Amino acid sequence: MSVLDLAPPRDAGMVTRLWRFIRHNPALSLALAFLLLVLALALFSSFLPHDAYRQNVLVRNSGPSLKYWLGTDALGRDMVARLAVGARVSLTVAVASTIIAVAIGVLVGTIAAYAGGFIDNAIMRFVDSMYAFPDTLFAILFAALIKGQLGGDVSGWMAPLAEAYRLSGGLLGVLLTLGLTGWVTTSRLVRAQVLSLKHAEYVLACRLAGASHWFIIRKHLLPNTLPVILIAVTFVVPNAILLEAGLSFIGVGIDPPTPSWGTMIASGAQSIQSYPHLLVFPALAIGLTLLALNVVGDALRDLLDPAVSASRGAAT
Amino acid sequence: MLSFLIKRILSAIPTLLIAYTLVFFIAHATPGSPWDSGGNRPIEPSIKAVLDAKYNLDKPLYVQYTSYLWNALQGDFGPSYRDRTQSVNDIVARFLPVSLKLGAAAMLLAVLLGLPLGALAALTRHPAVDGLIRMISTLGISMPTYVVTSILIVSLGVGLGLVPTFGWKGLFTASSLVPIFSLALAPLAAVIRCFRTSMLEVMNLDFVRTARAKGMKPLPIIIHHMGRNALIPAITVAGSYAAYVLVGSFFVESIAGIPGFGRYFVLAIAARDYPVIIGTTLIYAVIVVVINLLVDLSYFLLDPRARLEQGR
Repeated sequence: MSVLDLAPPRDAGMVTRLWRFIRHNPALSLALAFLLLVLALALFSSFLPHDAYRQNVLVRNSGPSLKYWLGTDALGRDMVARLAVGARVSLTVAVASTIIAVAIGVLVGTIAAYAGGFIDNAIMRFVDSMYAFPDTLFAILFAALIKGQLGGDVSGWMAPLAEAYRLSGGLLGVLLTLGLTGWVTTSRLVRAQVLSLKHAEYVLACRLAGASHWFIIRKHLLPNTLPVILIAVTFVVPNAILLEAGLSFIGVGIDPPTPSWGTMIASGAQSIQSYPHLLVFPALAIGLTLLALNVVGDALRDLLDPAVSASRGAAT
Repeated sequence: MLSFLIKRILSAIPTLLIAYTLVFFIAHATPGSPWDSGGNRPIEPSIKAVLDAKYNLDKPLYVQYTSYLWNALQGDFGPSYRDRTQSVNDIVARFLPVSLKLGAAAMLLAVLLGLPLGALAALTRHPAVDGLIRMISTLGISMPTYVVTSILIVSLGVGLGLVPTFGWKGLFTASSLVPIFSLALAPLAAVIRCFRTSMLEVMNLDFVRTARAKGMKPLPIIIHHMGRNALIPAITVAGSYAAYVLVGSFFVESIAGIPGFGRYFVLAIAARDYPVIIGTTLIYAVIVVVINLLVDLSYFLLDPRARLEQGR
């Protein structure tokens, strides 16, 4: 063995490593492929042969056929097109509400951990009581509130907001609901991480060198919290999709005629005996999407395992 | 032990108070009054005033806030606005037992099936068995209850005709099979996952090796040495699901046509039935607090170390 072999192997590029990881994990590749398909459907739903809103009473409730791949619903609208627009709704909600929720969670968690003392106690007690409710229950209450406030006749400063709510077909309400209720887990994770970093020597050194709190949070704490934030994202995204469909199912989410997987499941459930395909296809769509997201999330968490990254951090 | 109990109960009070405050103000900030749900005919103003006066809705909000809290503390959750002949207590007494029975059966199924499957996945030498059990648990965690319920009803009810597609005839009939299984799937998956992980952690610890070296039979080692140590995380996870499952799922109950608590709650929101909304949520929060307390107490039963630490 020559000396050269003892030199550390050159790090393969990030992309190469990721690609290798995906290739050796068939479940992950399947999940990613499915998510790409959903994304493509959502982006290019207008190129599908049928329109999601076009009613055709002559072909109501028809089963899957060559013309209508997954059949038509009770108003004769094409199921594929409606599922595709539903995918767009779901993905929009997932991305936007996750950004809101994670931003709030990071802010709250960082403030609680960094401030400590009374502020930390007060914030965490509040977070604990949010935990005393299942998030579904809270989201339902919140969504009903927002729908009531913005859905009716509104004047004054809320009028433009109500207009946007109407134009978005209820999407805005769902976004706000999920954003404002979904941050709790993130804040806990971030708080724990910042607490463990707060007394690290380099943070202390930085403080001694005269850095401001904001500088330390921005330059040291937040970048080191990134893996935890990513882990939080893997929980928040599937949950957002699940809750959006749930809220729409109950009738406090997306308003008809805009298709959402939740409203499609709700209306499908009413004709479960005669036309099961109206229920099965949207149920499969959301079930498979969530399954794929969870598989990807599991893989991501394995990659980002805090224990592993902590030992790596200590070595360097 | 007693001091721990008292401390825990005291610390639950602010939590419940914050929960009550949040729900009270969210419910009251939601526009519309409980009286205008009667279709497109607006209610006569004089009648509305009488109704408001009868139910204290004409009082300032803080009076309503304190008086409701005071009554609730004495166990009176007020009248229902929607079903004017019934009090919230009547409604809870009528709808909660159905959900509780279903939920308890589902939790029992989840734990009794989850622990052996989790242990099997951890201990098996066949990667295929482990893989299969893990796949089931990922599936269970991912699938929303409404998807599971609807697929089960379509396949077992519509397709094979084994179970009724709608309705409720009691716990020990075919009509409870689909709801129980749909409710049980998510906690089952979580218990499997958690117990598998903690069994893997315990598996190679010194005391397990010692027990094996002493010549103990595998099954007693698995149950007494490994299982007992690995149980605590699994119980914590099961506890966090128990409250959801016990109080009933709106989705399962409305798809399967079960007259339960979860379904009633959502109907109450639509009808602005403030006392029902607030009362339901409070009962919910109390159940969550009690279950968390039970989980903490189970640590004492299972783990002598926790008892020692508390005794010191």
